[in-house]
Amino acid sequence: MDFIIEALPSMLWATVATIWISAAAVLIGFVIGVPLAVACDGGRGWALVYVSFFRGVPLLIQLLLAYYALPFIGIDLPPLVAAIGTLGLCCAAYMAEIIRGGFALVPKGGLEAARLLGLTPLQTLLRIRLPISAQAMRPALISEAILIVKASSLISVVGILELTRSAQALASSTFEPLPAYALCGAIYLLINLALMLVARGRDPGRAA
Amino acid sequence: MSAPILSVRALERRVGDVEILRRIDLDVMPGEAIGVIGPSGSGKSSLLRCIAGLDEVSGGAVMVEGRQTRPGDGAVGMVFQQFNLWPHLTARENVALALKLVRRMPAADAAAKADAALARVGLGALGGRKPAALSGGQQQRVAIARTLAMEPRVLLFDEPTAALDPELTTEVLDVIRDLAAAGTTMLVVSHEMGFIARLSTRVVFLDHGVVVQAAPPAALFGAQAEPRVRSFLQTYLDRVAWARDA
Ligand SMILES: Nc1ncnc2c1ncn2[C@@H]1O[C@H](COP(=O)(O)OP(=O)(O)OP(=O)(O)O)[C@@H](O)[C@H]1O
Ligand SMILES: [Mg+2]
Repeated sequence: MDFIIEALPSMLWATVATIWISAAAVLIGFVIGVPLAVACDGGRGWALVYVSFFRGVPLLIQLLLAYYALPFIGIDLPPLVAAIGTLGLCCAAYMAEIIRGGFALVPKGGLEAARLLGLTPLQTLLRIRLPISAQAMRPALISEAILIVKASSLISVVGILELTRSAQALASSTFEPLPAYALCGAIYLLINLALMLVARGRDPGRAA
Repeated sequence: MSAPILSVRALERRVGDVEILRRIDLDVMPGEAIGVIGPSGSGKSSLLRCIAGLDEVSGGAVMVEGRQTRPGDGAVGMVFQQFNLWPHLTARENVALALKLVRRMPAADAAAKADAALARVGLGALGGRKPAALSGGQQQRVAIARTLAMEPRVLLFDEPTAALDPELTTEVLDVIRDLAAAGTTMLVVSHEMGFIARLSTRVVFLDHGVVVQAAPPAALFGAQAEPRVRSFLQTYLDRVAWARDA
């Protein structure tokens, strides 16, 4: 009981931090992932290099690079911004692959009709390609969001006070590591269960 | 004599070594309905797609009212064999989307114009349905309404009934016939020979990317048919006759 009372305030804040950091990363990932998917489909070299780098280098190394290398080349970002940015950029590489898969399901004829009727490529992307592929991409995008929630624990290494870092602090201040990490794990599980519910909630097969 | 609304000049299309269209010349006068027939692989779809600007041309030019066309400039509208409706939008939204985004019409005006276009193809009551809740013939009529609403100068139909059950073709052919009667300039690719014969002011017969004959239907389907056209039509008649016996 004492443990809970001592743990609650810091873990509550840490939960909020993990949620908004993950949400920001997922948002960045999607907003960058869409043009990245278009660029990859267009065979742009830089996009393929981008995707290979972020999918091929461990996220932990990416975070350490951002933390140590950016100041070295004169870019001075607050660690939180660097961490969220790295998480978001990495997420974008995976989301681009998912979005490309979704785009491949959009019949070419619908895009030709849009082109003939005078829609711009951007209008076609936002009004035709994304909505048509959204249902198909949803489960994979939410899986990616779940991965990001879990991967956000890695940003504890650059000193950001999120769930994992707070659990570590709690473990050393209370000398009770097991309940601290058990609580931490349970909170991650709850966040991700909520996401899984969202993924299943509007399953097209079960929709009215 | 008035100027042609559409002129195709020495149009060529090659993909690699394959010559798909070879020096096609065609002038279409306002209000004409041109039937395009020919064997499978002769280049009928390619001709329409080049006129629409969807396929790249290797030589020659396509002009509508004296101007070179570009896809999306509103000069040419096209109706496809597979309808190509947008499945996430209702019939009304399918028709209204380009009016809103391209013509910059306020939403209410676009919806009203979409309903008018749907009424013109006999679908006034079904604007709220998504494509999946419409029959093939109804979907194709929505596609026609979507193209009509943008008021293109020339309308292209590429086998508009080939994906439909026979009993649904009539409702689509009737709509095309009404449009032709109202003076719409159109090119129609179809294997419905009776329909083409009755609809067209002129019929173009394509084979291996070449215009073998372009003539009024009475000539092309009658005694003045070129030998290659005659043998194609004979094969067609044999098939229909065989189907009737079967
Ligand atoms: N992108 C392409 N690359 C290579 N060959 C092509 C391409 N598009 C079409 N062709 C070829 O060009 C020829 C004409 O094709 P097209 O689709 O225009 O014929 P069609 O008259 O419409 O035939 P159908 O009656 O079967 O629809 C065919 O031999 C086809 O294989
Ligand atoms: Mg064809």
